[in-house]
Parts: sequence; structure tokens; C-alpha cells
Amino acid sequence: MLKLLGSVCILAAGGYVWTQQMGARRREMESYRDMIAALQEMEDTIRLSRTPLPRLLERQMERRGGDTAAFFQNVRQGLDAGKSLTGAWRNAAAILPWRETDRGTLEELGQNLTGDAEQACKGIELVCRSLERPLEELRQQQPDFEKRSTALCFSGAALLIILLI
Amino acid sequence: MEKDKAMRSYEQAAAVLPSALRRAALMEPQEYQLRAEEFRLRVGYPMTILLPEGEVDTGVAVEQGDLETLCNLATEFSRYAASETLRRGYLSIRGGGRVGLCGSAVMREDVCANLKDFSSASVRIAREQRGIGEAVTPRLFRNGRFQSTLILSPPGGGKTTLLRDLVRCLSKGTEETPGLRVSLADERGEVAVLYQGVPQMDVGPRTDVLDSCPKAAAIPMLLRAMNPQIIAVDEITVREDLRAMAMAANCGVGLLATIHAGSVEELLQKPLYAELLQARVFSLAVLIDYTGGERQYRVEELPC
Repeated sequence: MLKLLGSVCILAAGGYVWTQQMGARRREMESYRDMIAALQEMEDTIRLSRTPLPRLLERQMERRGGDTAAFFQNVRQGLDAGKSLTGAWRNAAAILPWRETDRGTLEELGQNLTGDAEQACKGIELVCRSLERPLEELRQQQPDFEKRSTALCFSGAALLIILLI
Repeated sequence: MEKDKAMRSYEQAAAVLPSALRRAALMEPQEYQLRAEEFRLRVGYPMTILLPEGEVDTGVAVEQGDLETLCNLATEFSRYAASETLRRGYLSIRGGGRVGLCGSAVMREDVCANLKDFSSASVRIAREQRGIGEAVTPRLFRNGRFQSTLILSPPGGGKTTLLRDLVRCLSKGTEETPGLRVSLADERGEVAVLYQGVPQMDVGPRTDVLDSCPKAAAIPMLLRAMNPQIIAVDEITVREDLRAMAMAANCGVGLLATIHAGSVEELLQKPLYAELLQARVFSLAVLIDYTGGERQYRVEELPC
């Protein structure tokens, strides 16, 4: 009975680790996807209606969720605290759950947004293009990652159960 | 009430200054704050406050970075949203003020495409003077009909302030005159000062505002879309504007406009405006005289 209970616990732990890994991966992909969509929307709005940045940030804070909403909220708070746009943008980008190079790409956009509409739109377009690459990589790696993760978590749990029994 | 409004305008204009300069501006005596017309910033020199009697030193030196910060704050970190006016050397700010900028012009095909390396700036404090047009408005009517009118004065003479109040009076109506539909082509956003669609200045209940659009394009748009009885514009300077106004006059719409000129004689000496007078587009002129520390408004018939 005790062994059975222990096996269930190990299996549950394996499942928990697997869920955590899958969740983190999903969150990473979601944040890339959401950020690209937000930036593209910003680009369109700047190009068509020249809406000032504080209103663009507010709109994205309302429409987006998770890391992307937090990013725009941090930029807004930085500006309200009297920081420069470049500084506020850089600080907000630093907390995104991304690779270092992708964070660096997004950080640089703060500088471009201080320019005219053409510079701002070009900057956004380039960043979107750069961010699509890691998103595509993550998408392609997803089936392998799922298989690897499932195999690792559940075979690890199975091994422990065998050892226990 | 008026005192509160003057203080609020001062504070709104000070809000676009970098923090050290803003602190200095807000520490100035209340007497200065009530009468201040502009903040003047020049790199390497202390910021000054322009009063009717002259500039007063605040003692806080201006650095080049301060002007960049001023530009960022005035545009809400969105220079792309203000690039049209920035390349013409000014920015409109919340509350009705205006920032004028000087620096190095970036030229593209003989046209100033942008300004960079700012060297000086002036922050104009909006001063709405409600009521100054009330006595003038009935004098702009003949046989119950509004006559197209030019407002004349040299730069800084108070043309825009009078135009704004005349628009309000014409739109609202007075005891002697009915309220009329006024369309305002506010190219530089200085008259109504729209902020997210809401006029920050009182331009009356029957006024439709189209801002940030060149007058020559705005006038036909307003004619088609809003069916105005009067079209008001600030500072007509180029032939295209005059052509659009003449077209509106032919459609039976009354016109109200400002022009830089000290007198009707000075106006006649400028070939561009002489044509306008010959075409009888305008029949009256309001001249602004500054005597004894007060502005006086004179209405004159324009010669044919």
C-alpha cells in the first residue's frame, strides 16, 4: 500500500515537472507571439494616425496579457517616473523571459521610437522580423521538445518507481 | 477664477520643462506666474521668464540635454506624432501652450524636413481672454448679416486671442447677434487647441474644429462637410489660402481671418493681400492698438 502511494506520488511529481516545462515553453512562445502582434499594431497606428506613445502603451496594456502587458506597463511607469523613453524601454525589456539576444533587439527599439514616424515604423518592422526568427525556431522545436520532455519526465518517474518497488 | 486659470496655464506650460527648470519656474513669485507670457531657454544661459515689461532671469542654466528633454515631454515621447509641426519649428502642448524651437535644420529638397541639435526654445503660456470680443462682435454685422472680417496687428499683438473670442461670440451669439455655425480651420492647433477631440479653449457651442490640416485643404473640406455660415482661420500667409478663401466667399460663407499687418495701409502695400482686397473677399478689418498698457479694438471698412 505504501509502495503504491509512493509510486503515485513519484508519478504525480513527474507530471508536475512536465506541466511546468510545457507551461514555461508555452509562455515563452506566447510572449514572443503577443509582442510581435502588439508591435505590429503599434506600427500601423503610428503610420496611420500618429497616436502618441502614452496612448499606444495604454491600449496595449489593455489588450495584451501576461509578459507583454507587464512590459508596456513597466515602460509607462518608467516614463511617469521621469525616465527617458530609451531608459524606460530598456528596463522593461530586461525582465522579459527571453534569450539575451532577443531582449537586446527589443531594447534597441526604444531609441528608434524617439525619431520620426518613418524611423519608428522601420525600427518596429525590423524588431518584428528579428523576433519572428526565434518564434519560428521555437515552433519547429516544439514537437521534439514535447517528446523529449515527456520521455524525460515520465521515464525518470518510472525508473524511480521501479527502484522503489 | 481668472487668477486660478492663469495659474493653471502657467503650471501646464511649466510641466513640459525638465525637472530642475520646472522647479525654478514654480518657485517664482506668484505675481510673475500670473503675468508670465513665455519661458525662454537658450543653451548655456539661464532660463528667463518673459513678462510684459521684459525678461526676468531665473538663475538656472540651460543645457543642450534640457532642450531634448523639453521636446520629449512636449511631444509625450512621441516626436513622430509632432513631426509635421516640429519641422516647422513649433510644438503644440496640452492646455493650449506652444513650444517654439531653434536649432540646426535638416534640409531635404530645399524644404526643412526636421530640426536637430536644439539651441533655444520658447514655451508660450496660453492666455485665454474670454470676453474681449463681445463688444466687437455686433460691429461685424451689417443689416443683420455677418461681414467677412480680417483681424490685423503686428506679430504678438493678440490676433489669435481675439480670433478665438470672436469665434466663441459668433458661435454662441450675443444679445444683438444670433448664434452662427462656425467652422474653424485651426492649422497650428493654437485657436481651439484640440486634445483628444476636445477643445481646450472655449470656442463656442456651434463651432466645428478641423485642426492640423493646411488651410487650403481644410477650407473646401469644411465647406463640403459642415455647411458652415462662417469659416475662421488663423494667419493666412500664402496664395493657396487666399484662393481657398475666395472660393468659400463665392459660396456665400462669411470669413474671419488674421493677417500680420500693422494697418490697412501696410496691408495694401503687400501685393498678395492687395489682390484679396480688390476681389472684395473681405469688407471689414479689426485693428488692434496697444495703448496705455491695454489693447483697443478698432473696426474699419476695407477699401475696394
